[in-house]
Amino acid sequence: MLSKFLFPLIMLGFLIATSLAETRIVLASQETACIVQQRTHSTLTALCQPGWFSATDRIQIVGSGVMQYGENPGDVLQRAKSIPNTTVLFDTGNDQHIELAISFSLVENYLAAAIFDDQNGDRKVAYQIEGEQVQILEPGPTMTIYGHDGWLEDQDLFNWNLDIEIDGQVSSTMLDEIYMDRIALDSTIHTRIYVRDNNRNGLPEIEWRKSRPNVPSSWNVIRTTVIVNTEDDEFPLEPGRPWYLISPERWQLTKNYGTSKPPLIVDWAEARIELLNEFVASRTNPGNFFVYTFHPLEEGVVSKSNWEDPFAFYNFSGINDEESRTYPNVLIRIAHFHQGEFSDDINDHLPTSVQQIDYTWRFTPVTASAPIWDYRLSIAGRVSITETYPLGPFTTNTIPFSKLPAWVMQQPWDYTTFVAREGPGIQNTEGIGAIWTILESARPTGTQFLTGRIDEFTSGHFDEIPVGWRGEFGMLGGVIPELCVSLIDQRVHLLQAEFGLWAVDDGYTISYYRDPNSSCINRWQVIGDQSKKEQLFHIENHLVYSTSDQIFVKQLVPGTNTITFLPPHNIASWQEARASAPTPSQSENCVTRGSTSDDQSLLPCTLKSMFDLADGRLISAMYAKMSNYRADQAGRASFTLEITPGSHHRGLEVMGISKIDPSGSYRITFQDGIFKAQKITPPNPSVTLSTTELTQYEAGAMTLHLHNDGLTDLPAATIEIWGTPESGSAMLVMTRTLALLSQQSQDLLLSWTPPMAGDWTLMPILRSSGNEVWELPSTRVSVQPTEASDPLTLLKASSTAAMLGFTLVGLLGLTILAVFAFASQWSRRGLEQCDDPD
Amino acid sequence: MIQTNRASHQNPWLWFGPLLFMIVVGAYFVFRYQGHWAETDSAVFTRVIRDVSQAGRLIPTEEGSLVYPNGYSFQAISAFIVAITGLEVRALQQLVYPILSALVILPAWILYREVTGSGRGAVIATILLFMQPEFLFVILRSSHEKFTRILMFLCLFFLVRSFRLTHRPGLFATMIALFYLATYAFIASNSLLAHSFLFAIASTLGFVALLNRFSSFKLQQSHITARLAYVLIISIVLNYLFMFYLYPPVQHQFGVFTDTWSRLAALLFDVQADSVNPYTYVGGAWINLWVYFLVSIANWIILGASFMIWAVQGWRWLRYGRPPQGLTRQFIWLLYAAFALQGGLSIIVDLSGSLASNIQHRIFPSFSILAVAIVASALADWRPQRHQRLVQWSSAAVISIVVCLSVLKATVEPAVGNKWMFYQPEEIIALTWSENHLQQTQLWIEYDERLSVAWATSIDRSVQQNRMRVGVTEPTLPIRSFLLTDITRLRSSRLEQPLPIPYDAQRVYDNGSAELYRLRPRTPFQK
Repeated sequence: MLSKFLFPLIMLGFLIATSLAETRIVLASQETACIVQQRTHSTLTALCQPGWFSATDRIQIVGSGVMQYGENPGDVLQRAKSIPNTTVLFDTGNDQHIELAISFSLVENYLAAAIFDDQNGDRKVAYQIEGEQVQILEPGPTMTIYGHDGWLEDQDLFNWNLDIEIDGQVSSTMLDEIYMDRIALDSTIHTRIYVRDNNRNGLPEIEWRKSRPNVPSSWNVIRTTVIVNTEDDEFPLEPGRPWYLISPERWQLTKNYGTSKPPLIVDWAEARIELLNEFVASRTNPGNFFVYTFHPLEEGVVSKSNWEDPFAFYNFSGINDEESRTYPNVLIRIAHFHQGEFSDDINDHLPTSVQQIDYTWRFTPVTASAPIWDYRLSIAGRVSITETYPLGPFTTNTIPFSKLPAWVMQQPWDYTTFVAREGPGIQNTEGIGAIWTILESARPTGTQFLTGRIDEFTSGHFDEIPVGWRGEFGMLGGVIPELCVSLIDQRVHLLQAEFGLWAVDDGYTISYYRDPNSSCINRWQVIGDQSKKEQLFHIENHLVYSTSDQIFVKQLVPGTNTITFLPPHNIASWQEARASAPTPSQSENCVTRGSTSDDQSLLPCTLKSMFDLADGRLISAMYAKMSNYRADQAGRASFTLEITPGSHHRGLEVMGISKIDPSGSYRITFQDGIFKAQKITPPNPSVTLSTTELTQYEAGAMTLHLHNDGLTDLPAATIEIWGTPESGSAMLVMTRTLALLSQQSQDLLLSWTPPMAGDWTLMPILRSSGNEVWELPSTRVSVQPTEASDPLTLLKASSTAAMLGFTLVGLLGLTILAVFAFASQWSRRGLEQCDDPD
Repeated sequence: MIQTNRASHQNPWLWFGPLLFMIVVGAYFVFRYQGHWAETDSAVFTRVIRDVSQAGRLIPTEEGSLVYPNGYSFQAISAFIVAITGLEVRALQQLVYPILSALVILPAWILYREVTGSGRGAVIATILLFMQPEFLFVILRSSHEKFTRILMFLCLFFLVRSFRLTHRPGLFATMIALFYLATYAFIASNSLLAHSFLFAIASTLGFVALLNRFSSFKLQQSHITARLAYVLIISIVLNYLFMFYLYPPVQHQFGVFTDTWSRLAALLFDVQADSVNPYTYVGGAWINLWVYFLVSIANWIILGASFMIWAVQGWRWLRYGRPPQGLTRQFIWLLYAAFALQGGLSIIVDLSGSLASNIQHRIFPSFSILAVAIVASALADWRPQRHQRLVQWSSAAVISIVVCLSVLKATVEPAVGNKWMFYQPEEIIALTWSENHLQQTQLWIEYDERLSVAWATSIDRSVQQNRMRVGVTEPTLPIRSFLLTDITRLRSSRLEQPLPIPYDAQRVYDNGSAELYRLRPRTPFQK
C-alpha cells in the first residue's frame, strides 16, 4: 500500500523542492551560513563561514529584537520583510574590529537602516555597547535607507520602494568625483535617492537621484538623475551579502547587460561605503532611458532639464528573442542646452537652444558581453523645446521615450556627421563613443559655428579618424539626415554629404566627396599614399580610376537609382534599413590593397577593387596624369589630363583626343555622356579694381573682378593689393588666397580701412602656387580725412556752450581761491605762532 | 614755540577758505561734463550700492550681486543716504559725491594744523594737498576713498594728538578710544589701504629701531615707540577680526592672487589686481608725454620738494642731533620714510616682474599726505628774506598754473588726455535701445570702458544677458554688433585707431549721435 503512494510522494517532494529552489533563486542562490555562537536577551554573536569578505566573518547584533533572530541571522538579513530593531555590527575576518554598522529601526512607519562606516581613517567603526543600545562613536550615519512597508514585498519579492539619504563621501552620481572632495559628513544630506516599484512586482520601474553638493551653481555637475524602465522588465536582483543590498563583488555605478546586482558597494578593507549603484539599468536594457541634468529638478515645479536629456535605448528588430530583450539596437542620445545658459565654448550665454543628437544603431548580432555598433549620426540643431511632459515625479521638457524617435525625425536639423564602422568596432553600452561627435568632439568651434559666433566651421576636428572607421560631414539645412548606398564602394553614406574620410588601415586613408549635382558620394581619393595618387570618380554612368601615371575609364551598366533610407526609428524602418545597407566590413574581411579575392561577399576597400568590381566595360586605358578635377551644378565635370608621350594608349577617341599626336596636356570636359578635349593654354588672369568712397580709419569696400582666360586653373593663387600713399612707401594692404579657375570669373568684395588720408595708388599682384607672378594694372583712389579731434571739437562734444562758459568761470574761481588762500597765509607778517607747546 | 595769535586762531576763513575752494573744484568736476561722467571704480561702487540697497544686506547673496571685497563702509553709508533722501544712486554718484568730497578738507585741515602747529600751516598744507592731481582724482570720483581718506586723516590726527596728551589722562584716553574707533572704520572702509597704513606704522617702528643706533637720533619721547607698538598690535587684531569674522569677502580678494608673493604684496602695499600696467598706461593716456608731465607737475614738485626737505632734516637730525621741531614733526618725518619705502618697494617689485603681472600701486595719495605735511611745515616756518614781493608773485603764478593743470588732470580733460570719462546722453539712449532689442549679444562699444562704465552708472546691468565688449578689434570670437557714436569717431581719430565696423555692416539704429551696426549674416545660423 505504501508503495502506491511512494512514487507520488516522491514526486510531490520533488516539486516542492524545485519550487523552493526557484524561490531561492529570486532571493538568494548563495546562503550566508552564519551560526550563532553566543546569545543573550540583548546580544547575539554569529560566525559566518564562508564570510562575505573572508573565510570567517562575524556578525554581532545588539538590541531588544535579538530574540527574533533565528539560528542563522543571515537569513534575516537577506530575506526578512522586517528586520527587528537592532544594530548589526559587521566584523570581517573576525578580528574584533567592526567595519560596518547598520542600525535597523522603525521611523514614522518606515523601516530604516542607518549605515555607519569609518570616518576617522582607522579602518574600523568605533562603537560602545550600553545595555541594549549601541552607540556609534563615528560621525554619521553616512547613509540611511528607508523602506516603505518593509524590505520585502512578500517572501519572494523585494520591496523596491525605497528612499535613501546620503551624507558622506559615497559615490552615487555619474561624474561626482568633480566635487567629492567638497563633501563632508556634516549632517547635511547632499544626495537623496528614490526608487519605486509602483506595481509591487518586485522589479523597480523608476529611480531618481537628487544630488545637491555645495558647489557654485555655475558648475556643470549632474544634479538630478532619472532612470526609467518603460517595460518593467528589470532583471531580478542577485543575492547580496551580508545584507541583501550589499554586493559581494565590486561593480561601478551602471548595470551591465542581463544582470541586477545589489547596489551597495562596501570597501571592507577600508571600512567605507564606496558606492551606491543603480537600481534601474540606465543603459543596458532596451526600453530604458535616463536623464542626467545639470539643472536641479524638483517635484511639483516645472523644471528645465538639460545635458543628457534623454539617453534612450530601443530594440526595433521586431523579434522577441533573448538577444532582443537584453540588448538594444538603436540608441538616441540628446545632449542639449537651453537659450540663455552659459556656454564655455562661446564664453557667453547661448543665443539659442543647441542640441547634439547621437543616433546610433547596429545590425551586427551580439557575440560578446556588449554590442558592437555599426552606424551613428551626430546631428547638430537649434530646436527650442518648450513643451513639458511628466518625468516620474517631475515635469520637464524631456521628450517622452515613446515619442522620441519620431520627434527626431520631424525636427529641422542643421548639420551632421555620420560615422560607420569598418573594422572590429567598440563594445560599448553607449554606442560609438566620441568619434566625430558634431559638437562635443569639435569644441569649441562646433557650438561657435552653430550659434553664429564664427563664419566658418573650421576644420581640424574632422581631419582624421581612427583606423577602422569612416566619417562624413554634411549640412542639412533644416531636414532630417538620410542615408544612401553607393553602388561603387557598396557602403552606406550620408545623403548630401560634403566630404568623408575613411581610415582603411595604417597608411591607407581614403577621402571622398560629392559633386554638386550628385546626391550621394561619387569621388574618392587616397590620401595616405601620395606616391600612387589614386583617385576614383563616378560621373553619370562612367567610372574613372586614375593613379599617378595611368587612367582607366569604365562605362557602367545602367543601374538602379541610388538607394536612400531614413535612420531606423521604428520596426519597419529598421528592417528597411537593414535590407538596404550592406553588412559593415571588418578589417579581416576587407580586400586590402595588393590582394584580391573572388569572394563576392567581401566589400571592396581599395579604389582599385571598387573599380574592378563595378559592373561595366573598360572603354579607355591611358598612360596619363589626371589633375584639377571639378564639377558644377549643371553636371559638367572637367579635369586636366597630361598624356605621357610614346606610350601605348587605348580609347583615346573616347576622350576626344586625336590618335595622331596625343601627347601634351588637355582639359577634358564631360557632360551628357560625352568627353571633349581641348589643348591646354596657360593661365591668363586679369583684375579690375574699384572702391567705394574711402575715409581714413573707416572701412570701405574694394571690389576685385578677376577672370582667367586660360585653360589652366590657378587653384591656390594669392592676390595681394599693394597700396602706396602720396607721401610714403608701398605697403601691403591685403592678401587673400583664392581659386581662379580656367575660363571663369569671380568677384571679390574686400574691406579696407585706410590708415591715412590722401591719394593712394593700389596695385594688385597675383601669385600662383608655382610662384608665377602677374603684376596687374594699378588704380588711383582718394581717401578723405576723418573728423579731427582738436581741443575745440572736444570741448564742444563734451559740453554745451553755456556750460563751457560756466566751467571756465569755475576754473578761474577755484584758481583765485587757491592762490588767495595760499598766498595770504604764507605771506603773513611775522612768524607763525603755535597753538600749544609741544 | 610762542603763544598763539588768538585772532588767527579763531578765524573761520582759515578752514572755510579751503573748503570753499574744494566745493568749487567739486562743482567744476560735475559741471564740466554736465554730470555725464563715469569711471571704473565709481561704476563698480554704483553697482555695489544698488545691490546692497536692494538686498538690504552688506553682503548680498542674490545671484549676480556684486560684493566689494575690501570693505563695506562706503556702500553702507551710501545706501543710508539713498534711503533717507530718495536720491537715485546715479545722482548720488555723479552729482552729489564730487561736491561732498569737499568734506575731506576738514579732517585734513585739523591734521595739518596739528602737524604744522598753526592754522596758517594747515591752510598751506591743505591747498598743497588738494592741488595734487592724483589725490584730487581719487577724492573727487565716487568711490570709497573720500571716506577712507577722511578716516585716515582722523586716525593720524588722533594718534599724533595723543602723543601730546599723556599728561592729561582723560583726554589721552579719549584720543586713544577715538583712534581705534577711527582705525576700525578705516579698516571697514578699505582694508587694503588700512594694511598699507599698518605697514607704514610697522616700518616706522623699524626705522626707530634702526636709527637708535645713531647716538644723535633720539625720538623726543620714547613712549611713542611703545605707543606705536600697541597701535600695531591692536590694529592687527582688529584687522584679523574684520577679515575672518566680520566681513569674510575680504579673504576672496587674496584668492585672486595665485602665488604667495602676490598675496604678500597685496597685503602690504595696497595693491590690487588690475588689467592695466601703470607704466605703459602713462604714455598712452595723454596726447604726449610732455602733457603728462605738465598736468602732473604738482606731484613732481611735491615729490622733489618733500624729499629735499626730508633729506635735509634727516641729515641735521642724524649728523648734528637736531631733529625736526616737535614730536609730531619727528613722527611725520619717520612716517614719510615709511610710505616712501612702500612706494619704492612696490615700484621695484612691479618692474622686476617677480610678482604676477598687472599689479597697480596706489601708494602715492597716501604718500602725498605726508609729503605735503613735510613741505607745509617747512613753508610755515620759512619766509624769503629778500625779494619777497617777487617770490610772492611768482609763487602765486605757479600756484595758479599748477592748480589749473591739476584740475585738468583730475577731471581727465579730453582736450589734453586720451582717456575720456565723459559721455553723451544719446549714447545711453542707444545702449538702452540695444538692451531692449538684443539678447545674448556681444556689443562692441568702444576702445575702452568709457561707455560700459557709463552704462553701469546710469542703468545697471543687462538683464538680457548682453555683454559689452571693449578694446579688442580682432577678438577670437568675432563680435557681430557694434555701437558707433560721434564720440567714438573722435576717439578713433585721437587714438589713430581704425573703426572695427566693416563697410557692409547693416545700420539698424540711428539717433543722430549714435548708431548700431550689425554684421551681415554669412551663415544660416547668423542673423
